[in-house]
Amino acid sequence: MSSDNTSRGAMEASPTRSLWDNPRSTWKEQLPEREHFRDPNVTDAALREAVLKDDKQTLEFATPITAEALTFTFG
Amino acid sequence: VLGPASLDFRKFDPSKELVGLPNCGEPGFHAGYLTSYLLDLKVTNVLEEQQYFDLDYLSEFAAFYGTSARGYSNVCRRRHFFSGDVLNRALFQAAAGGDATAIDELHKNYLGFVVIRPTPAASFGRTVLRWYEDLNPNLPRVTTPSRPYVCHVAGTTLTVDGLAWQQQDQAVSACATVALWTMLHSSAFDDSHAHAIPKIADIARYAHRSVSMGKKAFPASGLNAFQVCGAIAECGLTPDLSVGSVRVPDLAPGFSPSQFAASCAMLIRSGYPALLGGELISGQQRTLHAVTAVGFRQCAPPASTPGQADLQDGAVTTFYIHDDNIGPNARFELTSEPGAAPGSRYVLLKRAAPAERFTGSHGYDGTIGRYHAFRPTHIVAALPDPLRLPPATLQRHALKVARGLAKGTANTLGFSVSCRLVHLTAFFEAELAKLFESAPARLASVRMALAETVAPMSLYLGVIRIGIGDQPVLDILVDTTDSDRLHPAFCHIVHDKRMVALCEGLQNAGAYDFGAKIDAF
Repeated sequence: MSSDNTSRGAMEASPTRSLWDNPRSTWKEQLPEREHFRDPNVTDAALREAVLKDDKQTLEFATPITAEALTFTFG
Repeated sequence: VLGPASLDFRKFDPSKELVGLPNCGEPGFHAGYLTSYLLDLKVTNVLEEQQYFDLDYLSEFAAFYGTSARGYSNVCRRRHFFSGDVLNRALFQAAAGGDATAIDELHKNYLGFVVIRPTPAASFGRTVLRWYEDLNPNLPRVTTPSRPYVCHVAGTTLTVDGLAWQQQDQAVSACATVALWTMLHSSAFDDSHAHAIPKIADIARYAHRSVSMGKKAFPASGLNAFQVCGAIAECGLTPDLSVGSVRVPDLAPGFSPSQFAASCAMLIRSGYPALLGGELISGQQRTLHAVTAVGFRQCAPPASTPGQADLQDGAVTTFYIHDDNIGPNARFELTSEPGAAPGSRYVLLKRAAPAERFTGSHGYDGTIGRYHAFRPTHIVAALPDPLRLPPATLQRHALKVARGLAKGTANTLGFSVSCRLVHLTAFFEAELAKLFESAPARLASVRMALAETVAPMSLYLGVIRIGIGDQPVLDILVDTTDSDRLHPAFCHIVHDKRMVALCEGLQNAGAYDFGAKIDAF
């Protein structure tokens, strides 16, 4: 996963927005110039595996809550 | 018996307006922080209601102070703060008489209010202050939970946008009670017909109603995670609890920077403040504490990395936090420390004041360079009852689908991903209007297609926005009323026609059902 500031730095040189603050009127002509995004050589099984399997990144959002975590007293 | 008292108009004196008031806990933190904050808002004048019945304090009085042998008063003072150099009795009197120019001057310069409680150990009651001016319009702060607060003084209406904060008094409220109270003020609950903002004494009672653990509600001595969730449930809302996944030697797990940033940002974008439980760290000393994250500064979106799905908000580093040890909207920076596993890191939040906007303002703020680092271990949100899909599950599904889309390009493209929980009406109206602000024909066709070609949708939508860099290419609208399996989406709105075949590829392979297709290119 490359969600660090280094990989984002290149984009900060020009005015950039978030996905939620970027109306169509401000879209830049920067998307990849190609006719299709879909590569027909990728198999159905590979697509299913990519979507249905968990990895380290997705499992971060499925951390089980232990009984001990519930007893922490904040105050 | 109370007698009448005149309204008091005076210049703001930073050395004694708030600083002279008694505090509890770290001496000077609250008064100094609030003084510094107001100076940076360019405060000049104060209007004080010398006798003010504050409903929150009255609930505390009824629950605790009214039966104390110390004979506390039930009357507060409320101080309103103004910038500019125009506030005086004559201007206010003109506004009270309906003079439109005077009313406009008051509104333009109104910065918010602080309720001063008559309790010597914790003076600062309900406080709402305006956000200071946003100097980065391209990557603006996200402060969705903020709401308008309307004050009425002598028939004149004053309005400020913010989110309420108050100091814990250790009698009716502890830090977690105050954090919950702030959270339940959120604008996101305005459309919930059953929702009324609970008073702080009510929250303390709710927390002990089903999970008292043999403790009395008053005097307050902190709430555990069970009680925090129980209090939310007693308010008719759904608690959502997440814990960190990064192991830390001898301590509770912490959050990885990207997990923490994306989780908090998603909640705040959706209008739900994030209650953070964790530890204040001072040398070897650790104290459990709770605060509420109410805003954040957006980060640049990820550059497209071939084959990867990156979280739009995974690199957010600036959060604005209501900390009952400090004050409202305190700016913190996300830093990280190495975890137990090689290469892992966990989040540490450090107080990082913004640059001074008024020379000398920082001199009053005792937290700068002194306030402890905070290590979050728990994130709690309060969500409307019909919303069953946990926010973390939506993030997980979004990452999987985006990863599948990247795979479908033979890993030659990467996508940025962001999620929000949005009221159906808000998506139809504000969200689509913003996206298609200069394309009314397309806006109309998308709205009509959503109304006529998609099966009935849930009141709250999970919206997965997928982009390349900062440009949206696909929205997926997800049901929030079912179980947390990867159910078919209601529909997808395609912003780039090259995404059509890619989505069809995943759909035909049985990887994901995107639901009805709406063309928006």
